[in-house]
Amino acid sequence: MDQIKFLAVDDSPTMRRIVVNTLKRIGYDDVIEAANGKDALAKLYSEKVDVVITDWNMPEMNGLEFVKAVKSDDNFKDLPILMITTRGVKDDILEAMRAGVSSYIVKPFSPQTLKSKIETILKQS
Amino acid sequence: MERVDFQKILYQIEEIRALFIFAQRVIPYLEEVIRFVQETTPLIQEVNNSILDSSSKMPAAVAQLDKVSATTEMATSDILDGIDRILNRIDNALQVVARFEKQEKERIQLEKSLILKLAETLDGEKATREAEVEKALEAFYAESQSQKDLEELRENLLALQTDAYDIMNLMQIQDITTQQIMAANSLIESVQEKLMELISRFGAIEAKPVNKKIRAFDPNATFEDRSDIQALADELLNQGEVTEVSEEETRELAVTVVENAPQDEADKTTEDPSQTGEKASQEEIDSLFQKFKQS
Repeated sequence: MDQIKFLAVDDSPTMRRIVVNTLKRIGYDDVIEAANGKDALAKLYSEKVDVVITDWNMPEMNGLEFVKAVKSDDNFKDLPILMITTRGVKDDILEAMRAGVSSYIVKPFSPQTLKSKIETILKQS
Repeated sequence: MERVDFQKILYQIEEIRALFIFAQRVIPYLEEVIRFVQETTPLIQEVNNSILDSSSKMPAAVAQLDKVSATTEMATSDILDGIDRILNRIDNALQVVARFEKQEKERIQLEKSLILKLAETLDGEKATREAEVEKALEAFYAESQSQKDLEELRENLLALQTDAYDIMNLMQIQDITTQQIMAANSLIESVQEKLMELISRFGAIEAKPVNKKIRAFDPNATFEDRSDIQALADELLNQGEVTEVSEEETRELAVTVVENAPQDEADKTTEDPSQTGEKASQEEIDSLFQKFKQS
């Protein structure tokens, strides 16, 4: 498998760890982390990332603002972004989609769900 | 000389008399009201003090709940460390099993070749002899317990690995409960703010601003299974509620939100999502995305 680099963005260290470990379990070892949107943007500018996995509710810059900021930059407009969040209200999902996320997972998530979403994203990109 | 209008004087006297009668009737009520006010003033004061007292305890309650979040986060981190160690040990054990299996296969191969060499020294036709020895060896190794034991060991290790990953996955509850606690704390702080306003209106004290912490959370965060709401997203999609936002529009939104929004406004966005929206399942979300991409 080609080495695909992930950026896991979540203010909860627990969730970051679960996402990173789940990615490892399904065969993706190359993962960098960020605690909020601002931090994640800085990481995107300094390292080449293939897929972003982000939470929504975060301090400093939340996930939706982060997605909008990423998608407004021509360098990253095609970067696949997967949102993992507790927010399961239809308006939230629509808002995330309009902002440009490629996929949306509601917490609590299973490794199988994450795997299938990543596979779909990678097939499309 | 002006003529006195007796009729008018009599009417006014009658009015004064009526007023006295009215006053006579009203005075007891007024006395009652005054007594009530006198009696309720200390009660209001007591309520005031009670509100003040409760209000002063609220920051401690918030701090205690924050401490619960911090403690569970630390404990979760320790649990995840433990799970990492378990998974590493399982990985090591699986590698040992694989090595042992390889050694066993090599040993069996060696044994077979040695026995076949020994068989060459026996009397009889070579081909028949070899076939008989091979058959006997196959039967012997088929009965061998070591291969079965190794297979069982591997299955148990893999099951343990799955269990460890399941426990790790369940630790998502820490993030979800933390968000629920944040929601409760935010609510307590809002109540405290309102109480402070109320007390200051009574003139008991001057309203002090409540030191609200910046928190990012979803008040509706839940640990329930959410895989059954896919149908809603399908419905939404069929109704064509999703419309693509132009690149320019996205850029404008991003600039507005990221560069110009004050910090507290940005936080409000994350803290106060719609409470009335319908929940969507993973299947619904998938379907929504499928349609969105096709459109």
